[in-house]
Amino acid sequence: MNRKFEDNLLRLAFEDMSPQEAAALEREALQDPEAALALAQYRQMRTGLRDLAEVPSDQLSKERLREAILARGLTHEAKPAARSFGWSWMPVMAAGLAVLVFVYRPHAGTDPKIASHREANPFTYPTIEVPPSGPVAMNSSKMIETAGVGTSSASFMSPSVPAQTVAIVTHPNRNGLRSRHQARNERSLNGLFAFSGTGTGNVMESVIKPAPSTSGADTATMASPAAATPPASPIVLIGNEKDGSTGASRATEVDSARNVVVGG
Amino acid sequence: MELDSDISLVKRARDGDFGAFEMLFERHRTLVYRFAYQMTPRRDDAEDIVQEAFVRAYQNLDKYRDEAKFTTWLLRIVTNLCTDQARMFHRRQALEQQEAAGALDWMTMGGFDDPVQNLEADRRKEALRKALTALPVHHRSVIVLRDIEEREYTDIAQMLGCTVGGAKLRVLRARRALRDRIAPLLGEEKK
Repeated sequence: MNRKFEDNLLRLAFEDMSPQEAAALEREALQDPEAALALAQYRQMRTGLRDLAEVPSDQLSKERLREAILARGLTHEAKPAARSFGWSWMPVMAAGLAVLVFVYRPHAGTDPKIASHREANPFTYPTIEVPPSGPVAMNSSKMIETAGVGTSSASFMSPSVPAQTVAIVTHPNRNGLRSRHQARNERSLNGLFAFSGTGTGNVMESVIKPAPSTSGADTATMASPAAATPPASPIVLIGNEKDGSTGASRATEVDSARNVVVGG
Repeated sequence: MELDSDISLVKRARDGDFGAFEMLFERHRTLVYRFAYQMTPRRDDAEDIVQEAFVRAYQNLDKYRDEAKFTTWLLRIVTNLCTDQARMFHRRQALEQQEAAGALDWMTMGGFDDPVQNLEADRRKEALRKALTALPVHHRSVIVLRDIEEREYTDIAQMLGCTVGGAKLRVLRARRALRDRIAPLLGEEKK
């Protein structure tokens, strides 16, 4: 009886064979007394093993198990970390986004248009606070006087020049026509400034001379480009002369701020 | 049906429903206990193993994957525990045999309801159990799974992490080893 035949007898005893194989092997084993004895022993072994399946009752209990689990501090809470993480990142991301927007927001003084304009025009203008609306009140007589005498150019350019001496009227000309009076005043002012440009030096010139790139926006001479008056907006010049009928100062309108000097 | 039920209980237990885990315990404790008892000769040891197995199962519920039966996964835990316990048992047994000379065996080796009538059967059973206990754990576990608990080869293969053919081969080797151990007893009986 070789080893393979013995293994087959084991399989036969433990019923690990197909019925056809089992029948053939059993017939062969019955013809060999030694094989028949071995097969009987194996079947006895199998029966004995099955009898071992009977076990005494246990003394396990749910309470004992619960105590053992609690003693080790083991818990399964309804907390799935992945699910809570799915929501918790949102406020964090929102806060981070807000910080980024705050840090990289466009600065008020860095408007790209203004910045490029300033770079192209290093010429500095006197800064005059101009209200968005309201009449431009310019004391033309003082202006003439200052320009004519040629004095106090520094004070003219000084930032301490009271801004209340200037008021720009932004209301549009109702019919777009200029009176002859306006035209005359403008001519006189132009002549005056031409004179002052040659006589009093570069201070007046620097004020009056428009920036090279602002030929179409002459109002830039009086204020920063951002405060430029639209071409259609007239400027009212209030003189010292009193109107005979009303007693109020006489006012004239001009279309352009060219050659207008502010003085106080 | 039972598989689905076990899986749903496992999911509930994962979500913190300890009652669901207790249901799993009630459902499978006998199976686990019988296996543990076959692997260890002491009832209290077997109970400790069962409890430890369920504690570890609870601890590792998140690692349980649904493609395997819960009982297969559970018996795999028990097999590992029995392997660990067997190592300690052999050391402890040597000490106890020295001290008590086996005087307390009657308390742990099962009952003798009718010693007069069942003396021969009990002697054979005891001899077989001793032979089984003396087997290496890897042999003992497959004998218990296949020949005592009558598990399918597919389940055994999943528990052992091998193919079905591999499981059959392991069972055959274990039977050979057991046969070699009980052959003197069987021959004695024949005489």
